[in-house]
Amino acid sequence: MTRRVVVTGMGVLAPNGKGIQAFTDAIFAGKSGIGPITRFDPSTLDIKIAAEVKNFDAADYMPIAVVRKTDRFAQFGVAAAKMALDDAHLAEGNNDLAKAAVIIGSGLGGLNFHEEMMFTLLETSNPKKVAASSVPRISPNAVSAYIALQYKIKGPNQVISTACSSSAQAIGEAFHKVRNGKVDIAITGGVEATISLVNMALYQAMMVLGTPVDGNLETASRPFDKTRNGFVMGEGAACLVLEEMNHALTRGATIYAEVAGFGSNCGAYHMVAPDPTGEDAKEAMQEALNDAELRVEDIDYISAHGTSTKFNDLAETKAIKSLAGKRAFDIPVSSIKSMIGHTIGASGALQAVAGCLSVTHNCIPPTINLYNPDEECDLDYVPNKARKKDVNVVMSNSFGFGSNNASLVFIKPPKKT
Amino acid sequence: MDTKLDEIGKELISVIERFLQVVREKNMSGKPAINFTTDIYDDLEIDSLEAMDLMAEIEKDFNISVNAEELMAKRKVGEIADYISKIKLSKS
Repeated sequence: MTRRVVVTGMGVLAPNGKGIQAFTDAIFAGKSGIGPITRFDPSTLDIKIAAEVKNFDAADYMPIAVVRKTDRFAQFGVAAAKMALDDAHLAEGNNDLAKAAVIIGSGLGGLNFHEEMMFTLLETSNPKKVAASSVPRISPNAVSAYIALQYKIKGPNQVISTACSSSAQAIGEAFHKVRNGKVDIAITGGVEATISLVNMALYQAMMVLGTPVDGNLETASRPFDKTRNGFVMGEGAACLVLEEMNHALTRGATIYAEVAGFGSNCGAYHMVAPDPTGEDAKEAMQEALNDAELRVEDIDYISAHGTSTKFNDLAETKAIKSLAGKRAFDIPVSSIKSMIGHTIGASGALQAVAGCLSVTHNCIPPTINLYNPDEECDLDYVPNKARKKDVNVVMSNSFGFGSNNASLVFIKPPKKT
Repeated sequence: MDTKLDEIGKELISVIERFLQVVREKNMSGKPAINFTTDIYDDLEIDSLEAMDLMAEIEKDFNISVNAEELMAKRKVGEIADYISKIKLSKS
């Protein structure tokens, strides 16, 4: 019999809310987390706005001995994992947790400390001034390793790095590992701590970052709006505890949603630009539906990658139309990036959490800042206001640089008998 | 204990506390009390990579150059203070 996989715990650090309750309130209220950069002096940059996680003190979530050895990105991961495991009522010492998988997505790894060391070297011209503890801080798998260390989790431990689809890929892999019987529990999700001078300069140089209209910073991210001109750099993390359904039911766990399908591919089109036909993205979505043994007619909500760039939003719209035909116009599609910016490797995980919350609350988060319809983006993007609706099936899209596409399907869990 | 060594010891303890960021510790029971008999590896859970970073802090703070092998062989705060005091003495 096919093993089924459910979500039994979630933790989130988002620019518009820390913790599940705050995030739930924020996404359904259409609350933006975008504002001026405060993590460093951005005066030399053209783009001085971002979606930062505010008032994060890593020491609230882990011993100071871990805090001082880790980059912000790994701290985000440990914090989100702690919230998710607390939520799932799984604690260190649980025998099944000890065998769990930890699979986390991160596109950029420990860039903050990496940058700090580069500046140190430049300022001193002395390689000996570089901290001996740099490598384990910077390595992308520091995040999955520290989660494992904190909870003594000894199963498969991986970090997946596929740019903006990293955490959707991580969740998909974790889902398959549980479904295939490799593990009964997986801690999965994504992290990114992107708000640093060099990283902002890198993305600014690519000319992919958006600017506000009328001086209102919160309008800088406006997916599917005719005036959209790029994304807002965001930081954050989200973790989900995936669990084999009977395992969860036996221990009386609360179930948010069932993970039903995963599709992933590479369009092999271009390192940065999406295929304008959207056909590769459509294939990933179709594969996720097939994996879930569902049809287009079953989809109640599509959580869009929706970055707010000209090209992504248009290609994704085409992909959805190619997938669903006429029904595309009846499926609500929204982008939470309108509120939290683009959190790169964490974005798929934040969407996954939002998707599960949609299923739980029967509510669809809005695409905020959508006031000027684009003739070419002509779907129902749930503009500006959340919508109450029975949500049984959510598809969540993540598309990354390198034509890397991943789609996940979450469904309402079976009713308790 | 002579006054000079005592002063160096106090400064060293503040360097270590700053390095360990102990003021940020939320779990008060986990907050280490550091004195001359504290073993930096066993009591403070400093690992070998961190020890090298701490050594760099000590060099900066006391404005000295240490021999890495010699310093890494010292485990207790008092021994390290003693070692620093000897280097400072040989410089003066």
